[in-house]
This record gives sequence, C-alpha cells and structure tokens, in this order.
Amino acid sequence: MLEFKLLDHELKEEVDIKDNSLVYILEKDHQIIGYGFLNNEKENRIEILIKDEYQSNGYGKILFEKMIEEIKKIGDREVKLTISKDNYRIKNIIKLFNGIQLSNYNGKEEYLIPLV
Amino acid sequence: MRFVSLEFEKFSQRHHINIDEIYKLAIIYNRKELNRLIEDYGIEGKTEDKMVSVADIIGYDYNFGDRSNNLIDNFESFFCHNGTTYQTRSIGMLEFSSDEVMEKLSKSFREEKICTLELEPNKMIISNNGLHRYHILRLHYLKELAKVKGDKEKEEALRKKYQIPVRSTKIDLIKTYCRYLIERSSGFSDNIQIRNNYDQNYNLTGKSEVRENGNTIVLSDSELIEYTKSKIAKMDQKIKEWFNASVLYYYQEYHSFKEFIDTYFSSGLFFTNEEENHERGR
Repeated sequence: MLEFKLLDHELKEEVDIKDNSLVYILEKDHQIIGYGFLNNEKENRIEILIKDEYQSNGYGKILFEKMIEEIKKIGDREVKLTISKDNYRIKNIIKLFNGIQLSNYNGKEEYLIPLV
Repeated sequence: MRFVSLEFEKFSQRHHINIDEIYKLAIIYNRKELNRLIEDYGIEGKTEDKMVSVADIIGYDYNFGDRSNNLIDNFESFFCHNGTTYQTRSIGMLEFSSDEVMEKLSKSFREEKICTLELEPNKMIISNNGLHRYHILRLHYLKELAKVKGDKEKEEALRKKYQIPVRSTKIDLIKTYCRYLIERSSGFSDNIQIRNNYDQNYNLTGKSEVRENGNTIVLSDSELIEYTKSKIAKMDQKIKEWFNASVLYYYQEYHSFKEFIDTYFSSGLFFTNEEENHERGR
C-alpha cells in the first residue's frame, strides 16, 4: 500500500535538502520509495526523487501529483520548477500537468504549472 | 557480422530484417546535431495535435544514459525481457508485424499521445513521450523502405502508411533566431533574456518578453526583429568580427536560418559585400 506523508524525523539517507524545505516521503509497505521536496524557492518550488530501484513504475507521477495537492493546500496558484533539459521523465510528468516551458538556459529548462 | 542485443536479434529474425542493411538507415539525430541554434536558443511555439509521418521523425535527444545515435544500438535500453520495468513494459510490441503494427498501436496513439518537437518543417524528433513506440514504428518503416528505395511512388505510399497522430510542439524559429542574434551581439550578457509571453490563462500570446536589466517589454515578432536590428547596430565593435563569423557560419549551415536572415535582414548588416554576394549567389 502506498503512503504519502510529511517527514517528521531526521533523514538517515544522504539526500540533499535545501534550507527551509519541507520533505515528504512516498512509502510502499513501509519502505521509502521516493522523496518530495517543497522548497522555499519561487523558481524551483518542487523537486521529486524516486530511488533507482523503484523507477519506471509510475511512482514519479503519483508523487508529483501528491506534491501538487500539497501546494494547492498552501494556496499557491502556480508552480515553477527548473530541471535539467535531459530529464525526460520529469518533463513527461510536467507536461501531463499542463506545464509550459518558460525558458531554457545553460542546460536547464524552467517550467510553470498553473494550478487554477 | 554486426553485434546486436539478443532482443534485437529475435526481433530481426521474427520480422525478417537484414541487420546490416537496416543499421545504416537506423541512424538517429538529436536536437544539437540537427540545429545547434535550436539546441542553444530554442523557444517553443504552439502545440497541436496533428498527423505526421514516421518518415519525418528522425530521432530524439539520445544523449542520456548509455544511448548512441542508432536505433539498433539503443534497442536493448527500451526492450529487454530481463531488464527494468522500463525495458519490459513494452515487450509485447515486438510481436507486431509490419502489417499490423499501426492497428495494434492505434489505441495507444489516442490514449497516450506520442509527443514530437518540430524543429523545422517536416523535421521532427520525439520530445517527451513515445520512445518505445518510435523504435518499433521507425524500424518497421525502415525495413519496408529498404525494399522500395528509389521507387518514388512506393516511398510516398509508405510515408502515408506510417502516418500517426502526435502532439507536436513547433519551435518558433523567429523568436529562436532573434534570441541567438540578440544574445550573441550582447556578448552573452546575463542581463538579457528572451522568452515567450503568456496571457493570464497561461496561453501563448505569440509575442516575446524581453527582460533586460530588470525591465520587461513585450514585443510582437515584427517588433522583436526591429529590436534585434537595433541591438546589432549597438554591438560592441570589438566583437563584431566574431559575431559576423558566427552568423555566416550558421547562414551556410542551416537553410531555415538562411531563409530567416534573407527575409528579415537587409544586406550589409552582417557580411562583407564579398561574403554576402558569394552566399546569396550573386
């Protein structure tokens, strides 16, 4: 069974967390399969990370959807995020959520997802 | 004899594919190889659902993971019985013959659109969805193409046979090429950015936003072209020679850029008379 929740304890694994970011976890049968980061950066509000062994199972889309729901609860009307231009998996997910490309600079692409 | 993955070997035997013959046709191109200016300065335009031929989808940005510029070399990273979910999830497609592949995939075309990026007219790559299906379709197409190559009528019939519905995003060449000229003539200043302009409903307006030193102006395409000319005119003379050399290089390299320059920019702006006369065929 999949569970999505705010991480309320210290991370034991090495995961890069920005200051003032909220960390969410997606668990399956009590095993962490991915992390969602809600950042305090306007230009890069969400990041998700699915562990290698759990990739290509659709969990990225599920986790992203959960993160979007959290952002809507906060009251944001749009989400901006910056990704590597070679990250086809997240690009596919962004497009599923009607993301629009704002710019591409120095190997990075900036997207906006309207939430209204 | 060429070494191929076991999965491709089975596929080629099942569908009577001559590996050596098809390998030469199975070369793919990424965005950078097709148009370096689009790779570095590309601004996306409209997205629409349309019918395109697999014949015109000539690659994808393969430069991720361990992929190379050939569909056959990359086959195993998409299809492998013993691989990850990504490699096993579409194994069933390998069974489809050339006669049935279009019909068998027709439901998927509707339910999970293949997404393409149109770099120039009839020159497309797969963008963010459809890589598995692209491999299968393109290989079947190439297998059939090899049999009819040289026969224009049969080649055209094949183009029509392999028409698929896609969600295609077009590169806005005017904005892309203006962006290149503006950023290049500014000496790659970080203070200037060109991007699409959106309305309050997040729809493209067809205009550009030019952000310079914290100020934003919104320009139509014709205004953007005039703005570009003004930027070139004000260019630091120290970089002019280098700038002109760059423009001349891409003028010779990409037909669409040549068309853009010939259409919107008068003579004398970039080239010396000798270079221009030579390139413009006078």
